[in-house]
Amino acid sequence: MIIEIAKKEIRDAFRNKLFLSILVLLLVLTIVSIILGSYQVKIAMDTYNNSISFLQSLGKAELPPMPNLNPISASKGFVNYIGMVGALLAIVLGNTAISKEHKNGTMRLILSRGVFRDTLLNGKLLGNLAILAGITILTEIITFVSLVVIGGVALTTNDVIRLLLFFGMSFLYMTFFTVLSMGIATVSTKGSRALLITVIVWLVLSFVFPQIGDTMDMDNQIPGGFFSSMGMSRDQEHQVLQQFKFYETLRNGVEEMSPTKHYERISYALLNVKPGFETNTPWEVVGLKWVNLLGLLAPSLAVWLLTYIAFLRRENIYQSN
Amino acid sequence: MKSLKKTILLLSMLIIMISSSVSTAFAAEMSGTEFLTGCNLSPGEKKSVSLFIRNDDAVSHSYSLTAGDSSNSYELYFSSNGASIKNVTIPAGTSSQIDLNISLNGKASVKEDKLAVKAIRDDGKENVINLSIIINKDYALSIKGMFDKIDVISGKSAEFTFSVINNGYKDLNNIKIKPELPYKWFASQGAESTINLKPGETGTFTIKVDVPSSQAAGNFKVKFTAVSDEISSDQVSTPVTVKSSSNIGLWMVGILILIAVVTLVQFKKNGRR
Repeated sequence: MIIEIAKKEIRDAFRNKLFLSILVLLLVLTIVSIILGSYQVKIAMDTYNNSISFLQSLGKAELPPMPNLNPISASKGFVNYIGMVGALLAIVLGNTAISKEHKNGTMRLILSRGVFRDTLLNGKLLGNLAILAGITILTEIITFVSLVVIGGVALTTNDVIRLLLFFGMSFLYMTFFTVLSMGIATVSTKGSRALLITVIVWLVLSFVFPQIGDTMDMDNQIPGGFFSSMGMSRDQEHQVLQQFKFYETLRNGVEEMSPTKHYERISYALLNVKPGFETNTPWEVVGLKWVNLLGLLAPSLAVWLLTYIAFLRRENIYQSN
Repeated sequence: MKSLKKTILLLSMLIIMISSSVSTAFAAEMSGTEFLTGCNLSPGEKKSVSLFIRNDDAVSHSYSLTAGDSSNSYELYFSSNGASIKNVTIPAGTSSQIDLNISLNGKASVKEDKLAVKAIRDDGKENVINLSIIINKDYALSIKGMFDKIDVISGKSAEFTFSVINNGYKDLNNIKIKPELPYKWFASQGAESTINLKPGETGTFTIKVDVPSSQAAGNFKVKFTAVSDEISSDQVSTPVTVKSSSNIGLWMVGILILIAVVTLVQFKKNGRR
């Protein structure tokens, strides 16, 4: 039964114009960003090869080593697009999954046919996750092909694993917003209201909380740094920060509540956008960033369990909106 | 005869004038206060040598400054009024003071060295002066970290132990460790303690560094230099791997387990619907 519900979800999604519009937008942005990134890698490669040819023509024996082109960082733009457009796509998908049944009055029909509520939720989630996985795999293929064909680089095994892990994180990130959207749609009596609430929650989690982390940092209050502007020594800076320990813990705690921040941190580490992870293996990066991985997984599971409870306890399920 | 003498006098004056103008047109003199006497440099010491470049030409010129061809490795740059420069433009008939900032990079391979300082004018004329450098080994200080790599959990402290050796021929006083730490990292203990070392003696320092709880996991480099009243050592860099504190993870798992239990209770109480 779960598979049947999932299949229907996939069919329905491709009839949803809003979902299709956002999907096209995401794919166009991804393709443009990956192609531009691949061209940057190609330009860097060409520049290096030209300088090597020039030096060889001069008879130089000592040639400069190849710079670290970091081809996988071509996906850097994708992190931002998934953070915004990907999350919106996941929200629309999750909201439609529940609200369409209320709107069409099919919820009571399905549930009156011996389908358990948890089975219905699981089927819908499975269908939506399959769609998200399909989108992730498609963008993954575009990335690999662009890097090899346009960029002209041979990816190492570590590069491939890092990219695969990164796309896995993107999938987990979008999953959270689908689950959240389905959860809110389950609790709310109106689909449009649920969508609005989910978008507000997304804005808070993706933009307000990370901003609190950055802008509320004491040293970010003045351009050039608060402490250096005040002419403070490291000891004085230490003393000031000791006075604001609770504030710092609170600020950090708020930042940790944002799945977007967790997604960015682990993605930038995997893509080597954030310096300091070049010498680590992909699995070492995941090991170092396990909190960020947990920050993507745990909220999805928690919201999904709460959705079960909400749906199980709901008595007005047969009312149509 | 008188007119011939006058003509010769005029001609010779003209020749003198022409020859002097030709010589100034191609002469850009470069002089340094310490060039003639040489420069004494101790390992770890940063020295500034003043050079004067004079443009005796009739037009303004730009000079490109380089230094090299030395046996030892030096960290050096040119500066003017405190700002780092690579080129200098000098108006006609004036001179400009340029500082060559120099310090020894690593260990000296020779005690007496020469450094070729070049001022290449925009028309290609090159002035080279060899600066003699004498490496002073009276004061020499070296630092060595006891660990190749340190792992620390965010919100905790890491201890760095160093051995400091007086490799020179004279006493070194008030030796302390100067740390260069990432933002919000602080040396909580050991950075203020000082020791004195006689030639050949070795001292040990232990510095405790606090890593903030807000520090995201990753790999960092912490740099330390031993500094005495007389000299400073080379910088040692220790890689530090910051691992995430399990506190936040335990909170997440705890909340998840609680919700899972509540869900199970709900299912047991109400059954599947």
